[in-house]
Amino acid sequence: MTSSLEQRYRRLLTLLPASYRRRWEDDMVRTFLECVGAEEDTEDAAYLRDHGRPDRGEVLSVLALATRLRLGGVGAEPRSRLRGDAIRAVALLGLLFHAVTAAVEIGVMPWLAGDFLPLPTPPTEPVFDLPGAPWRLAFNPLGLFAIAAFVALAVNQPRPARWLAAVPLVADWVARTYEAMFLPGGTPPTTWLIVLVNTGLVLALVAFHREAPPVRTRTWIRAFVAGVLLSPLYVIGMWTLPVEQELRFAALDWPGLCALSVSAAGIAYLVLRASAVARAAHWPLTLLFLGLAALALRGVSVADYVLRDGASAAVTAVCAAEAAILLVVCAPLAILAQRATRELSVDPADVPG
Amino acid sequence: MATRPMTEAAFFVLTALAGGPCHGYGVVNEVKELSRGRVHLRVGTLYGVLDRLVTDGLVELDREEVQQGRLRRYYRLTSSGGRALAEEADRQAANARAAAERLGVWRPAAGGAA
Repeated sequence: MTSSLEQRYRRLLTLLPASYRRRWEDDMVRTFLECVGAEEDTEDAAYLRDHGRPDRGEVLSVLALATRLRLGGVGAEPRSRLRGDAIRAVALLGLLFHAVTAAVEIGVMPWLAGDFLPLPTPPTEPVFDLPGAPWRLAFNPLGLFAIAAFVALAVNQPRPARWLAAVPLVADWVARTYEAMFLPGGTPPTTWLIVLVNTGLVLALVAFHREAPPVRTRTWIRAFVAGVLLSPLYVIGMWTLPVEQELRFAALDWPGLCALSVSAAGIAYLVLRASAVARAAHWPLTLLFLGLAALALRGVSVADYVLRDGASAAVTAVCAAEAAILLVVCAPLAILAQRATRELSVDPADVPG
Repeated sequence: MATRPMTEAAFFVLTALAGGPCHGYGVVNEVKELSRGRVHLRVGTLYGVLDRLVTDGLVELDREEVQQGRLRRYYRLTSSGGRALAEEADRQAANARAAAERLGVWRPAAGGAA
């Protein structure tokens, strides 16, 4: 009869892929029980068998193994490598997006403050959703952490990148919890979803484990520079498009920006997928993950605009159009992602990312 | 496939198996002893290392035994594993020699920071 301790350890091992468990599970269980002294014929061992649990170190070692096996790196099984490459690319693109938007926010600060004389006076500044100078003071420098986290990851320093990326995330959780508890109206569902997506993004950084392939520093730093150089288009669009301000802000808000960016990236991939630039097998899966997150954000934000703010028909139509474009782009990506996964199970050739 | 540097855990597991075929629990104890108590392999870590070493052909299954109704597997070093361990040991020894030579002529700066 298996003891409670053994059952608990076997439950923990279900984190590992089934194929791995078939090879190693029984041996791991035996070694674990011997290591903790549960196989001895003593009263302490009997108590341990009935009431013991794997300690924190053991749980962490299995978690680390599960991460490495499920999000594979160099030398991993092709499917696990594909999943790992996709999650790593999602994390890199997500941090790139945050870094570029942070750079834009920092860049437009003097203009919004009216200190940048060569440009015309800025229109009404969007309302900061948390009241009081202390919140603003605390939130202004957080963009620097987003930029630093991206740069750290791009130069192959994933450990500091995780800490740097966690700082704005923790601040966001604190601010949103405060908002939900103490401010009238609470925190809108869209804002919570953004915090959850960002949490997923920070968690995705575990995919940069010891066996993960190195990040191509030059490529990603160039992408950041290109993003910053292209950002004036967004700023100009946000402030000067000849349509009502309500419509501009809804179309180019955070979910809108995510939807448009992922749609553009998806279309670029579908056009260029035969070329060398887009040959890595993980791209459809990467873009599909990002597309689904952006779709959820846009969907919830449209509902928010309609139900909470009583948005006009034009706002609803523009946001719905962004969601529809994204859906149209995601459909072929889903087919390509499924095909890539299926091909890898037939042909074990490993395609580097 | 890209060559990965050998981790300390893999180095000690190979060293433990260089003494003869061994089961998982035996490897954990051997590694503890070889590292003078410094390296305590968790089971998740040990089987992550063993899986990698078996995949790379450095370790293989020696035999299986049933004891107290449970299966026990013994692992052994392959000839490739022996070569890889010898190369790593040479590399570490060369590093240690270089450090020892430099330390032999090094004198702390007089009046330096405390």
